[in-house]
Amino acid sequence: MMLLLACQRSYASSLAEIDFRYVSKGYISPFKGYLASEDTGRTILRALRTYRVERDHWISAYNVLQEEHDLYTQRASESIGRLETSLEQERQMWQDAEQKAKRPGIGVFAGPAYCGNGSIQAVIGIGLVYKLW
Amino acid sequence: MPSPIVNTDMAIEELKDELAASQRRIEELDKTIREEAGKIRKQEHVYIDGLDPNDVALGVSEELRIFLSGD
Repeated sequence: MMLLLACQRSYASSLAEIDFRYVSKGYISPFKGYLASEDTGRTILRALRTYRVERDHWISAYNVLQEEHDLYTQRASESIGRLETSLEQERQMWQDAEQKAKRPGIGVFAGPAYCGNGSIQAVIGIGLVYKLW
Repeated sequence: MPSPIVNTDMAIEELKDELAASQRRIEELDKTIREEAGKIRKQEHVYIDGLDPNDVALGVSEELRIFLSGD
């Protein structure tokens, strides 16, 4: 049992005629070609198929990981957008609180007071309070 | 001073969670992909050993046609 391969060469490889067939022992080939044992034929097929299937597998894996990357990028982008909005709101709240803290307030005070006649008396009062720094 | 906005903390946690989840998914995919890739040679060996001689010849012809057609 033998495998006979003849592949006519062509300037355009896509037009090459593929002739790879199984022939019985003693077969006389009408043309020049390559001779291979059955085991070699199986090895050739195994190599061709394995490389193709592995390649397809890695291409598929690349596409799956690319999709995962795109999904992560989209979700992270949305999360960052929400974070920016939230930080902006928080920053605005702090600014508002700071401005509010600088407004004048009303203060109550109490303490001793020196009077013109030389006496010291207790006094209480209400007044405006300004934050200087 | 205003109390911290819960939304900001949530957004940060959300971002951290998303990153961690993505890393987990990628690690799982990587593991699965490598495991499957490791099985291909053995699967092809078993498949081709089961073919009769004519099918082997047809298989080689088909693979060469796929190669020449550029998929």
